[in-house]
Amino acid sequence: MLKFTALLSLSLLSSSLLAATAAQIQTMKHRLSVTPSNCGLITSPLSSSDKTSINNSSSLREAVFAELLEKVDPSCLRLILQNLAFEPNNKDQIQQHRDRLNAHLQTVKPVSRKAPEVICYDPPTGLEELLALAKETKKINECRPMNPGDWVVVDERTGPTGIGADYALTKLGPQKWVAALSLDVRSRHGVSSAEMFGRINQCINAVNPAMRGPNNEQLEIKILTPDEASKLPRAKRPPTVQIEIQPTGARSHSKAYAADINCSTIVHEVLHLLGLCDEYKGDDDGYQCRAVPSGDSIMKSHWTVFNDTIPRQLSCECVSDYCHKLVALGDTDAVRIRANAWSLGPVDYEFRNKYCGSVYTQNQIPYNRGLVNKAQETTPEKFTVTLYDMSTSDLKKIFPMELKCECPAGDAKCKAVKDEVIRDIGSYGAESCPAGSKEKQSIYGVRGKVSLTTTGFTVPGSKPRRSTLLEPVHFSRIIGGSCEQVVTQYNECAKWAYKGTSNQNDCSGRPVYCDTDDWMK
Amino acid sequence: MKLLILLFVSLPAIAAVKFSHERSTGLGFDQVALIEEAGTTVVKKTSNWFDVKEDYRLGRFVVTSGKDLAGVKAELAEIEQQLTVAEERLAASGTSFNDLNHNRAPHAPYFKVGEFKVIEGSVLYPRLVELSQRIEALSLSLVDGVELDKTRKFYVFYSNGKEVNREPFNARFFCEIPRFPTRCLARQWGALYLE
Repeated sequence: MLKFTALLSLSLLSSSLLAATAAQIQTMKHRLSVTPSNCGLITSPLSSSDKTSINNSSSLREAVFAELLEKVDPSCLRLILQNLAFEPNNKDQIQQHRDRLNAHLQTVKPVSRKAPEVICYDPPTGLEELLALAKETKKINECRPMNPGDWVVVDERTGPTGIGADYALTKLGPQKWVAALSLDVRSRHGVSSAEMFGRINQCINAVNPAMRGPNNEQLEIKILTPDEASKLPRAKRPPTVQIEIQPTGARSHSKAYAADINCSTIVHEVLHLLGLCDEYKGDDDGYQCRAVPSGDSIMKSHWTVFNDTIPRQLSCECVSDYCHKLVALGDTDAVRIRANAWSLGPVDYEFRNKYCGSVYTQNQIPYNRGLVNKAQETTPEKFTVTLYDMSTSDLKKIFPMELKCECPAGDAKCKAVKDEVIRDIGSYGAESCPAGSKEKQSIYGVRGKVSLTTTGFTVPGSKPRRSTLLEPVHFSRIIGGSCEQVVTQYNECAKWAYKGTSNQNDCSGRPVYCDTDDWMK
Repeated sequence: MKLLILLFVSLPAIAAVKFSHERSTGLGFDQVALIEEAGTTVVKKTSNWFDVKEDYRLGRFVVTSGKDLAGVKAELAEIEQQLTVAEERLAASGTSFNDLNHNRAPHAPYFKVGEFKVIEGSVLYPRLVELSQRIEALSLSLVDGVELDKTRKFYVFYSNGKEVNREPFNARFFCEIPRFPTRCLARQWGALYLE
């Protein structure tokens, strides 16, 4: 009787295990069919009662595994392989799955590409020659000049820089290109997906006129919802990228935007999706191999380049009694002085923190509507900036402040800032709404003039000093699509952007030209 | 012999980062790290970005709650061991742990355990989030660094555990925008995200 019970229990247990495994397989198949791009979903535990995840090899039956390799993008597969490494070898099929995944990742086949041209050829020599021919055909197709109406879809499997590019590109005419992205924005933290999507769209629409090539070619970036993208034919459909919303505050990253993310950051993150790499120094996070150009760029110092390129008008709403009183004066010069008090161009908070002593406040002086901030050299290394702000205790008085800054010997960048601010300080517009007011909306594309409203005021932003957000090499890379033979030096240096001690890379093999600005030409 | 001793004494202490929580953006690098320095475990913070409780101190700290630290170090040692074994298994397949990390979210936070970089999506990530919170909860004493005082009127600078200087904190001077929340710099010690 005992033996029978034990056997029955064992068989029931086996059945339940088999049943659980079958249910897991169904769940996996469903996930792969609905959201193959959602790595978080794919790698999450298979049921609430089952603590195992996809990484448990007993759930990875052949049919699901094959579908996984076909549908899931390589970055997710890498994580799955990484996670599989924590499973002991003695579990069924673990080592085989690892070997198979790794082999697949070494020779990843593109999925969303145009099929290569059919060539009638009778190979006399065998498989290696056929593969070489297929590779050559792939290169030719990818680098074939695009005609108006042609489309190409670029994803991580086809992007030449190794950066996670996900877009569809078309050429409308000799001077006009369109790059389409599909963003799946998830509502969170009191911001709806529609609101955030609208903000992203508005930002990109406003900056599109400044997405220009070296010969004034126009690149238009179009942001689509997943629904809009799904209606496109496969050959024109950009892969969907998920964007999470984070709480309000300066806490966002490329796949998770803070609820109050600003436009310059949106632009920088969107350009990553078009295949551009970071260009700021990577030493601190173990990316010592990253190439860093000497000048500013949207991928190095996006806030600087954005402010230098995109004209804007700030619309500020009063949130303090002081601000309401200032506006009630009816004097646009008083508002201008208040809004521009800390408009110091390149002498921004990072420069001040590094090169300037604490600000000195001086005795208040009578209000003078003609006052404008000024900067002057005191020695070849030192300069002083005098700022004027409206007094907060007496609206008939001005509050002068002085910044004393010093450039160390040999610091050419600091010296360039010094020379620029001395020359241009009078032309800097407002960079943000002053204390006591909050930004209602920035209108990008126009500067406007100082004007008063019932609840606040508008002020012009800084005068643009650049006509395009993109370096020529950025433009060429984006419209190059999947072609590896355009901007080859940029491609090579971009591949080193996320390598260094963080992944045991000593940068050997990195081209020497990545240490100069040649790769950006 | 005297020369050898002199050389030994003058060699800088080699610090080994055991664990860190990091984030890199164009604005800068945020890090909270647990470091072994000449036999002492110190915490180094360049940012309060990861804080779960309000603490406006940056710099180099010693841990004053020894018992809690022992628990953290034990957990860390276990995680490191698992990573080492995983690395061996991956090496047998011809690849490595760090090589399998993707770059699809270059500005996303990540963890480093020794030489291993752990990104979101790894099975270890939730466990490291918990460990990071345990480190945040440790009782820390600032040795070298800066503190923004509670009134937000001064930056107070410390060396060897003692105040050596203070500087008026003018938010307009040090911070990105003239309202909170914003990012403010603290001289050479890093950045404070103030709300």
